[in-house]
Amino acid sequence: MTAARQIYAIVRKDLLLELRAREQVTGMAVFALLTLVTFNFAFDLTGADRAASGSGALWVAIIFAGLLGMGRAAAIDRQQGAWEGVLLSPVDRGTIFLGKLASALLFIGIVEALALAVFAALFSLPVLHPMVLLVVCLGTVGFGTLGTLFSVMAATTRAREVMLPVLLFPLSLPIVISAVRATTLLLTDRQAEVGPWISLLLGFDVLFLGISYVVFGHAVEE
Amino acid sequence: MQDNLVYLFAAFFVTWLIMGGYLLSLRRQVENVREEVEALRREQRESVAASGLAPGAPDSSRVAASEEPS
Amino acid sequence: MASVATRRSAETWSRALGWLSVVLVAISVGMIFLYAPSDRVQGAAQRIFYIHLPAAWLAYLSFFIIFVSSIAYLARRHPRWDRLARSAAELGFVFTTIVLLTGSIWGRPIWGTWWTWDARLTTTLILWFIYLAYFMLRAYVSDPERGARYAAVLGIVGFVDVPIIHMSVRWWRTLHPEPIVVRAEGPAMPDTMLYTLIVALVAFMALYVFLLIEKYRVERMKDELAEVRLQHGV
Repeated sequence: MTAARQIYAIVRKDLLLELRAREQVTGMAVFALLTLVTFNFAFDLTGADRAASGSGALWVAIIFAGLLGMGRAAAIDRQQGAWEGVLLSPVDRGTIFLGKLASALLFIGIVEALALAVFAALFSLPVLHPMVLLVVCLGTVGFGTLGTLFSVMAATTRAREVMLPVLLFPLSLPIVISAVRATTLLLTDRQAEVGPWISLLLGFDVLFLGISYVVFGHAVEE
Repeated sequence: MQDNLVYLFAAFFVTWLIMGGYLLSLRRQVENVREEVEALRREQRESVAASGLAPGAPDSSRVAASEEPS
Repeated sequence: MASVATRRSAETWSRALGWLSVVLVAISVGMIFLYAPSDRVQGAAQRIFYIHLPAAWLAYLSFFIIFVSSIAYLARRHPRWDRLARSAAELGFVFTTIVLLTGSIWGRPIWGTWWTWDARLTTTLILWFIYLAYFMLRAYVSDPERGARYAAVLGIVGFVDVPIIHMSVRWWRTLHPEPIVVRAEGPAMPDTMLYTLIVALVAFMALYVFLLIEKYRVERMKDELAEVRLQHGV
């Protein structure tokens, strides 16, 4: 069985679980939308400078929803004993990592599509621009990579709800900074300055994809 | 200009306070280990006495080595 | 496992190093107050520099030691590498706290504020949070072997991340349309300042190595004790 088919098998398993239980995407989506609405009141996102604070609100919504979803996904795997099954299967640990990352990105992606559409409508900002979508994709890959690695680790600790953000927030700071900054620049029509941020995001993604692929096996051996 | 001497003293105070606190915590860790070694030894002596065997269980050398420093 | 004789000689060396570091620290404190010249612009507060800079180096050195021993632990799985990482982490946390506090106290009279979101300050703050996460991760995992593996993963990922964090915060500041943070970059250092700094660095370094050895030995005793306890079924 090739790696691609193995990844597909893991994603399919997660999709099936999600279709039956509906514990992740719905919760994440509602959470993301509520965050956007709450931020509207916290920062008054209707003014002229709404592009600057709006991109912050968008990313906070994405990151919190992603955190919630990835923590939930790891907990679901634990509960049903599905994780033992995945680990017992003759699949390379790095491939398991890619599979879990793929399903995390799929779920977060669905929520992001919804959140972006609602965000665009509510605050009349041009977020459906292809460059914004690229930044969202790159940021999500970086955040999802660290999140997948750490959520598996945090799931076996006591107080796992606390552990995941404590691990994830400081280490994903470069993602938060560059994604928010790049989105702000794009929303305020300053495409020319966005280059370094996109390369930072890209570099972060490639670097941590590589490291996580290698160390994931050490994190999950049971 | 010289009135910021107080900041210098504050910085030194904070530094040595933290270092002192750390040394105390290290000392407490050593004390805990030592207490536990003592408890294990006592237990071992009692069990040896109870079973009437000759002393010199395989662990006694290791416990002695652990207890040695500081 | 090291023999009792080896340990005893190591203990003698460590004790000698301990006294050496006490003497060196005393000399360096003397030099900081009496020998080093007063800075014309910053006055007495500039002397904080002599504890701030060595502490900063040691905070980052600790993380480097964690990084290397984490890789060694994952590759070899010998508990000594984990013990080394644990010991360096505790010291790193202590020195990072010292850096943040002395920096803040220094910044107050010079910059007029306790804190600014400059790249170095922010990176050190994030480093402090990573150390905190490192301890929490160990504390919340019940199986020590798994805790060691998790900590090693965090040690590797975190160490690679720190320079990127620094870079991103620096760009965030410089590409941001706001005045650039004033840096306390004085003129070229006079020799007396340099000598004081070197002595302070050596003194802190000796203290650090001494503490690292002592902490390592405490951790080894704890490990051995846990093993004995396991064998006795207590």
